[in-house]
Amino acid sequence: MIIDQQGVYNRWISLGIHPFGRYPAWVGIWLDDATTENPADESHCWNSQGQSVWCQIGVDAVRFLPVSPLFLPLILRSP
Amino acid sequence: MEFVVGTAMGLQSLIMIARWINPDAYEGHSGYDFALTYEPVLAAADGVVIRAGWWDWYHRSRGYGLFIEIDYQNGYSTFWDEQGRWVGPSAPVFEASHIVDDVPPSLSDPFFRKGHTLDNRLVACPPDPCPYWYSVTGQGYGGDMLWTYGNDEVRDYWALWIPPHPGIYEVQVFVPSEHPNMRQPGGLATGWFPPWTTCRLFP
Repeated sequence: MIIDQQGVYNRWISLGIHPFGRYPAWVGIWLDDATTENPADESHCWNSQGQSVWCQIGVDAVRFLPVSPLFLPLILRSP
Repeated sequence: MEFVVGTAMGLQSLIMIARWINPDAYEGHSGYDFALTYEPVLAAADGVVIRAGWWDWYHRSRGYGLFIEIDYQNGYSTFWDEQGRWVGPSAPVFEASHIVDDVPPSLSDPFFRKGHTLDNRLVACPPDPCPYWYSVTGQGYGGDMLWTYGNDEVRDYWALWIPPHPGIYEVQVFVPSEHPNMRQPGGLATGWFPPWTTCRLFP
C-alpha cells in the first residue's frame, strides 16, 4: 500500500485496519519511502533557499488504535 | 439482496470476532506454496529488486526468513520469502505470496469503534539501531520527529513499528506540518521535505 502524503500535513492518516499477531501472522508494519528518486538527480527537492538538496522523508510517528470486533462493516457506508 | 448483504455482514463479524479472540490464528494467505529444494527460482518478469534481506536479522528462522521483493514497474510486485528457512520433509523452501496491486491513496477513515491509543514503538531499522533515521526536536508529533533520506527505488531506509500486543488495530501515521505538501510556481517545494513523500505499509 502506498500512501501519498502530498497535500496532507499536520494530521494523522489511516493506513487501514490490520490484524497483528505472532508468527506467522503480521508482526508489525514497515514504513519507508517510495519517492523513486534517482540518487544522482537531486532535482526533486529544494530547500527554502531554492537550492537542490537530497529529498528527505518525514515519516514521524505511528500509532495503533485497537478495534473492537463490534463495529459496523464498511458495507453500511455504501450508497 | 438483503439476504446477501446480511450474510456478508454476518461473516465479516464472525471473522472479526475470531481474530479478536485469537489474533495469532492463521488465516491462510493468497499466495502459493512451492515445495522446492535447491532449485533456481526465476522472476515472473523483468523487474527491479526493491527489498531483500532477513525478516529478522537476529532470528533468521523467524517470520519470512530470507526474502526478496521484485517490482515489475507495472503496478505489480512479487514477494518471495522463507528462502532461508530450515528445510524439512514437510516444510517448503519458500513461498511466493503477496502479489501486490498498488492502490490509489485513500484518506477516508472507515467507520468503526475506536479504543484507546496505544504507544507506538519504533522497533528496528536495518542494520539496527536505525542509522539512517535521524531525530529532530521541536518538529512533528510530540516534537520528536524522525526523518530519513529518500534513496532511489532501493527501499532500504525503512523502519519497523509493532503494536504492544497482538490484536486488531487501525494503523495511523502522522504527517508533520513541516512537510511542504505543495509546490510553488516553478516547481519549488516550500521546505525540507519532498512533495512526493510516501510511505508504504508492508507486507
